[in-house]
Amino acid sequence: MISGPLVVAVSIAYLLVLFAIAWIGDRRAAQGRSLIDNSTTYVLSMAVFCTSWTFYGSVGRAAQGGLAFLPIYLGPTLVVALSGVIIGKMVHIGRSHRITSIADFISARYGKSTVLGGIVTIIAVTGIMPYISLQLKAVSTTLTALLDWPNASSPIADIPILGDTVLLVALFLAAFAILFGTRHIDASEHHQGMVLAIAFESVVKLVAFLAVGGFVTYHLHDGFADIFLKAAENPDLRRLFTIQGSAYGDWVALVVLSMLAFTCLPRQFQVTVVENTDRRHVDRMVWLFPLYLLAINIFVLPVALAGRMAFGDQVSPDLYVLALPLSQGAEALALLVFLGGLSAAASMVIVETIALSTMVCNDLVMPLLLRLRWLGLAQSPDLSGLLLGIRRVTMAMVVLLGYAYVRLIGDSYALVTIGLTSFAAAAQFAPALIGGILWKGATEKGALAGLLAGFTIWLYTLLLPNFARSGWLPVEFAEQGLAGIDFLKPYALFGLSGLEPVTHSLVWSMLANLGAYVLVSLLTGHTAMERIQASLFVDALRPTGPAHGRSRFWRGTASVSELRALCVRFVGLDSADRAFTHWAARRGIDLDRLTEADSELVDMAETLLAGAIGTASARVMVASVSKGEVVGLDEVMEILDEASQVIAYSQRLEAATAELKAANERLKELDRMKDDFISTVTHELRTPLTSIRSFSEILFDNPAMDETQRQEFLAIVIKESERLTRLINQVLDMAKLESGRMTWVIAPVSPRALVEDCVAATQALFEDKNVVLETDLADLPDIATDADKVMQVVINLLSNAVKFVEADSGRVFLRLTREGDGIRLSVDDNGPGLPPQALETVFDRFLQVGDTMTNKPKGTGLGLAISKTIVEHLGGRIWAENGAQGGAVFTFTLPGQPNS
Amino acid sequence: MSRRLRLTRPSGKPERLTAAFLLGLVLFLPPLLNVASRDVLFGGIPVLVLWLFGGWLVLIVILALVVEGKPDDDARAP
Repeated sequence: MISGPLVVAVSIAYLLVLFAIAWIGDRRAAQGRSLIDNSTTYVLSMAVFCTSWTFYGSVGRAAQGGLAFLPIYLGPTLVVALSGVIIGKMVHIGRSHRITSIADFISARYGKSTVLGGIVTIIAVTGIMPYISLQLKAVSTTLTALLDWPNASSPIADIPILGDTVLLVALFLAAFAILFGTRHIDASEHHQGMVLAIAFESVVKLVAFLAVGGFVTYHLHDGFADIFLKAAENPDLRRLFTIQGSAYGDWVALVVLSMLAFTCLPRQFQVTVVENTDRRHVDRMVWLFPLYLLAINIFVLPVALAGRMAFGDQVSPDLYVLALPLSQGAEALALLVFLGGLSAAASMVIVETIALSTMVCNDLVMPLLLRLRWLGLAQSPDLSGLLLGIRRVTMAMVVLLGYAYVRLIGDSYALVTIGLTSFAAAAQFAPALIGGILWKGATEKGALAGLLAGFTIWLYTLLLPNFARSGWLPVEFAEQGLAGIDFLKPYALFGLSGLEPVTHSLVWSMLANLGAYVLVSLLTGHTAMERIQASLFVDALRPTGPAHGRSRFWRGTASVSELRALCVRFVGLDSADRAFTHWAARRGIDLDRLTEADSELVDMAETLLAGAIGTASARVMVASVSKGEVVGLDEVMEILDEASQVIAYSQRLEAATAELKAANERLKELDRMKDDFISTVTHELRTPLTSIRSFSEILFDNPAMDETQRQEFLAIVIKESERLTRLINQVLDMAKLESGRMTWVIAPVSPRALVEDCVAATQALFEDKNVVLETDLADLPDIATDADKVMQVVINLLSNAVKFVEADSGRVFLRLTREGDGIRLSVDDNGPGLPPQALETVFDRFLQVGDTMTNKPKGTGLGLAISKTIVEHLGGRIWAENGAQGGAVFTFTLPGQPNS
Repeated sequence: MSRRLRLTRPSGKPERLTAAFLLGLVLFLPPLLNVASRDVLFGGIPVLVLWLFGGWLVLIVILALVVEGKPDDDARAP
């Protein structure tokens, strides 16, 4: 049996250690040697997610539902993987706008709306404050269990107030929050001491849980497998190894719920966004935080099974963690476990209290006070004391209200189920929060409608029936629905039954919330301020986004002295002076000479105030000392359009650059082709010229040459000259075609007559070589084309065919058929055909099929290139293939009209 | 130019993290969860426990590899 005084002394000593750690943290921060500016501390502070509900409750859930406790921790693991899109962006926005709480964030996103900030605060207080009570209740229950073991625990209401350790703990926690949560008037500044203490507590609760887990698994039993094998013998426990069929819906709902709650719980927002000292810490958090969750959960199921095997129904499963070591007489371990649970509870109470009090002060009380003109607050010379006072009173009230709850309704159903109920309340912020950073079109009215709709459904389907079950409302309400209407049963709204209450509530509230949010956003418009804030938030991570120049939206002026006086009133003389001097120094401006504040200075002052009194109130206060307003909606659109135009321009510029590059490549290619062309042409010209020259020289040097030989040589000279002429004509043709200077005479022409002309023109060639030309010419309607050019193509194909067939045995087949409304003409020979690789390239300029080094070239190498250009210009197509008998087949088509 | 574009990975850390998120969804949600949820012990440990904690650990390792990877993997022109 552990003695009461010892436990109280240890608890108080532990809480004093927390004070000391926080004090050191703040001291080091003041010296500029921060202890929390590292990703490990950041991750440990985020582990405030694991409250006493995790520490004791996970085992309780596991003892009854097996792995059903796990989705609560899988959800956060999944959501941190999306940190680039959601959490990382929230951190970035939070830091650059000096956001002080989730209410402030949502209010700022939707045009610095005071109403939204207030609504979020009210939802948070309603849904989450009872959760603080649950933590205190856990402390009291475990304390009783520790002291009274093995007797049944006595109800908390029987303990006299003065001897109540829980009250002492609550007072300590309130004092801690007040001391370390209100050190700066600027709520967006980091509470370094507090964060350090929270990180320490996360270590303590993890160590404590791992200790008890290791004790149960390896001391009481023989490892994991031993526990599972023993449990498997009991069918009741074996059932916990799987998920029962109907539980899948709840499983999915819990994963989704914990993802949303992890993002939206005020205490998570506080440690993740407000207390973040460096955006880079988010990176490591992505894997380190899930690792923490994995570690604290690994022993949950074994402890739950061991507890059920040891106690059956004798002990509440929520107390297994404590009862197992106690039953073995391991009192030191039990004390450590108690401290772990105390850590989990204390860290949650502290952070939630600070987060809620900031929200209540900045988003509920201050806006109201500033609007009450008869208080004259707007003119009061120094409000920083009042601000801190409000926050301190709120903190004390939050903790003490939590304590009162415990004493009044400690054992009620409503309090026991508040864990998931408060998750579901926090999840109502998700559409407005996540939608707000991803969707520019979301409007203030949409967010308001969504929040109200979701909150109402949450109240009706979760909180009120919980109240009814606790006996504060007629229990018929929960069981038979409002006024006995079946359709309005809170746990089976509109007949949706068969779900756990939380799942049921989540389905309906999210449907209503998201539906109203999207629908109203689509149907309503933005004010100028909403429009500005929407793009600042959504485009926050875009390097070209408007975040770097938000002062552009401000067109008013204010006097520097008034602005400064305003800041002094809220943040105190020191902070205001420091901020103004820093601003001036960075711009190299002499502040004393500056009388009119420009938009940048006004923006700086507003952000400074936002850190102290929230975005919405800061806007109101700055507007009160400045002439002019933010720019009108039209101008906002213009500025935003400018920004998007700049982006569009730069994208177009990139595209244009790419096009230019391509064009440049093409030009280089063309230049290279031109060089090739010139060198080939000169080469081709030189061949006939050389033979003309050499035969002429022979003739010149040998006047006595006999007649026959002279005739023979002269014939060669003539033939080569003809070849030269032809070549030059073709080069000229080619040049004309390519430069587009060729004149085209399009006129109706009979295809058959045209082809017959060609046959007649080449008849001599065929006769010379004794080659047979067969024709199969269809009678076709006239086509509109350039007759001369087409003749050139046909003659070229025919003379090519003659060139490549054997003399005497050669046969050429010419066929003219219809192709659509045009013609198709093919020239088929029984020559050697084309090598396969030449089928494509044969139309290239100067390509001679066959080895030019050994064979005497038979053509100029330009004929087919010219033919191709002509046919394509006239809208047709030309190609080569090898015929079935081995010869080459050249085919071209022409349309009825050159442009069709 | 075109060569360098081809060598740069088209996806940075955000995309890879999102892929890990999708993997997590597949691991932790039905219908694959149904496959693991059977009344069988493997080495004395229920299959579902192995599946969930093993999958969780694998996911954490993947997340760690992605975020602790070389920063220049992520270097993309703004």
